[in-house]
Amino acid sequence: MTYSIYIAESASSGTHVSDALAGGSYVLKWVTTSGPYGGGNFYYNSSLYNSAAVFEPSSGNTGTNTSGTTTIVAQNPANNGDFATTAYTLRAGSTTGSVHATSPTTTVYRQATIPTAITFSNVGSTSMTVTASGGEYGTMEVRMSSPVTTAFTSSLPVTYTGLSPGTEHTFQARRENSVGTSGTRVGFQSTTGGATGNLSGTNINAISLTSASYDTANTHVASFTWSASPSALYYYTSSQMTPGSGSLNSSASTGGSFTLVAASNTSIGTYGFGYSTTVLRSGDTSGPNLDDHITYIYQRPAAPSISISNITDTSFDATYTSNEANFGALLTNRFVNSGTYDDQGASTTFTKTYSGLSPGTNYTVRAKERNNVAESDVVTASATTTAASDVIPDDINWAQGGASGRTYSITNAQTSTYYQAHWFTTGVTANTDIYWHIETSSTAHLGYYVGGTLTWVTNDTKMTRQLNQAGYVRIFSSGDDSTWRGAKIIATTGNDSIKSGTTAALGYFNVTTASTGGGGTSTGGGGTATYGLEIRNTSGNVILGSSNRHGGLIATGAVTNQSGGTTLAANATSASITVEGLTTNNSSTIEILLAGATGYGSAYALSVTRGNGSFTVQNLTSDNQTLTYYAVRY
Amino acid sequence: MTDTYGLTAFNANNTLILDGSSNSYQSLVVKSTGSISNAGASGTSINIGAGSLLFVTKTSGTGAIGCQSGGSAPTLFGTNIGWIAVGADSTAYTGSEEYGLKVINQSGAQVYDSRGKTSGLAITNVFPAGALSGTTSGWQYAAGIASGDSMTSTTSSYVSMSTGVCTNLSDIVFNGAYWDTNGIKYVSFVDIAIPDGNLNMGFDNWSPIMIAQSLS
Repeated sequence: MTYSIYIAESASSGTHVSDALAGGSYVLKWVTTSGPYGGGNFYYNSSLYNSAAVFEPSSGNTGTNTSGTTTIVAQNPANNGDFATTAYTLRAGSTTGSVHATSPTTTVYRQATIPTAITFSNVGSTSMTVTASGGEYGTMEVRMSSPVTTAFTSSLPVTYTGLSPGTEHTFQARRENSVGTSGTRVGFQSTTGGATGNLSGTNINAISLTSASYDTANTHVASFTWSASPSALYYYTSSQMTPGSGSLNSSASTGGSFTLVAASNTSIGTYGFGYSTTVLRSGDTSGPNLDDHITYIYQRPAAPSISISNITDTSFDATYTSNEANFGALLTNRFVNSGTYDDQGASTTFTKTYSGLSPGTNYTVRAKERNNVAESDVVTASATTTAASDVIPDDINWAQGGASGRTYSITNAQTSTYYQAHWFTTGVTANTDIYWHIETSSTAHLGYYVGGTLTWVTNDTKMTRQLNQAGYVRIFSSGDDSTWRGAKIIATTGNDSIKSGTTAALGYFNVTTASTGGGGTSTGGGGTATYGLEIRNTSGNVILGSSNRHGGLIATGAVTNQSGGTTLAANATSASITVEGLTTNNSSTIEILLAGATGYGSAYALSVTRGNGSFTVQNLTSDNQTLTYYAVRY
Repeated sequence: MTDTYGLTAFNANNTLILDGSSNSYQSLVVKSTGSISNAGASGTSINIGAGSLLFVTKTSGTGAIGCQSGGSAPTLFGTNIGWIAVGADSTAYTGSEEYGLKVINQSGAQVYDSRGKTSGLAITNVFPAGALSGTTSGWQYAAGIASGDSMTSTTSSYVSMSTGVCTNLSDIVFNGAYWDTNGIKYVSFVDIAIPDGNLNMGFDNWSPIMIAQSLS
């Protein structure tokens, strides 16, 4: 018979992509093109497995399988910093170990992961150098995407020239390997300069601001030149312009250079430069009326800052804070390849919740400051939403009045693995009722099953609950001190209905029956009961609890006097019968009932002697008489 | 006994409802019910299962009920009998109902599981051994009992019969009960012919008698 086998993703040869970490599992599908392999087993090995071949499946192969899966433990990739990992072949063989067919080799690759940062250097008015870092399993590539799009390059760092001064540029970085590319990281950087752009104003009729230079940080105008025709008097001020308040030059001029007083430091503000075409006379100290002849020279604003918080699987918060408290506009944006900035006006801080996002995905937000003539550098921040299948985030908001919160699903849940659910309550007054339950795909529901872990942490409005696949929940309680470490159910009256025991005994619960307590309401499941624990049937009638008195059986059985004599021999081995909690004088709560199974009057005529922990029946005189006993506690 | 585990519940009178802290306590729950219109002169045997306690009531009319206890198959005497067998709630629930209350005791045994329960039994009174006097003479089982202590004025109550002894309702009845229009009275007597005449005497209850009310 001719045999043939190949890995399902690669009929000839090729690749397989897996995100399994080292020590995790790869699942390779396999197919036979001829067969089945009567009486044979399948087994595999790989170039990194030097041990003997491992049979798969290890047993129970009927010899009729023509396809299946093989789970292998991932190796620590030999080229962890690169992308190639492990090559595998599958072999089909017989139970005697002879190989009948070998598949083509398939290489398992890691999925390339997204870079974590784009950095800029040598930023000038027409050029800048760009590189990126972070991420794994692929070659780093960078390109400019705005205002023009270039091709990705892996020759890093890369210097871009011929750029426009004072302009925001967008760049993208990613990693690429043989099986694909990672997600894309974006970064923003503005070129410096734009001298004329930073010099602007109104009513400059006869004077021109022709050029400017910047301070060493390339953020502030440090000096400029001007010209006037005809000649003009000029003055300046280092604060918000007030006509006539600056230092006045006493002679007319047709131009010159001017150095701003505070331009080289980090102070912010608006500089004014004014002129007059009227020659002042000696002694005229009030200055000319220059209201129509003022030009304002703006500093380039400082960049704002961004902080990220409250990351969930579908949302996060970004808080933008302006570093220009007195002027300027805060521009914000969550960048998705393109998009415009949102103008937040004069707000100095602004928090925006981005929702409806995809789990496990990286998102970038950006912001910049803008005044009348210039914009700050662009700042960015990134947030990666959590994976929905791993952790349920802390943002289930429960509203009062029973409105439901969000619903989460745990997918691909593994057996013997615990998943945590966290939630906060917001806007709920302390000690009010909060309704919650767990639903699982199995038959377990909270309220019936007890198992797993339920732990209160920090306060009454936040819990961490662990549940396994079956949805088991266990409640831990402890001392009734000021800190709740157990579970607490509050009655509508505000009094404790069920609470941790007054002792430090772990797991002990006491259903209180104080007249001021509560057992629930019509919405809480207790009907109109005023006391303790109550069980009702589907007709609404009480079948256990409330004001009723119920009994429990703590011992029952049948014994036979096989030896005769005057003392009952329990099962012919003991003279007494053990009963938990029995004493000589607690007959008001524990009763011993005897019933004769054979012979009229046999049990009725017997006397019972109560002891501590057991009782003895005497005067049973007939051989082979059977006696049934009941110890009822109520 | 130190409470360390489980759920313990008491009612408003501080009497026990459930005790999950015990090693052996298991709630008495309804295991089976039935009725007998006329048990006949030889009585009617019922099967209540091992370890079950039997409670009876008169569903209509007046008259006596006696019982010859016999473990899982006692024999009842009388007419218009309603009976309830209660036992430890030890059977694991196998239905599809998913909501309710389940309590496990320290030994890991089931104390109570509300699922599938549609009825219950409340104990309204217990007479310890020696607390009741039976009829002593002139017993006529058909009507008009003149003596025997009253156990309750509620004729719908159930009386425990698991400790009963009865040959028929006219000769030997221990731990039986008689329903009249005013309530239920305790019956315990012997009235049999002996060589020198007739033995006719009453007895106290030498075993506790429990009075209960059905909850459904």
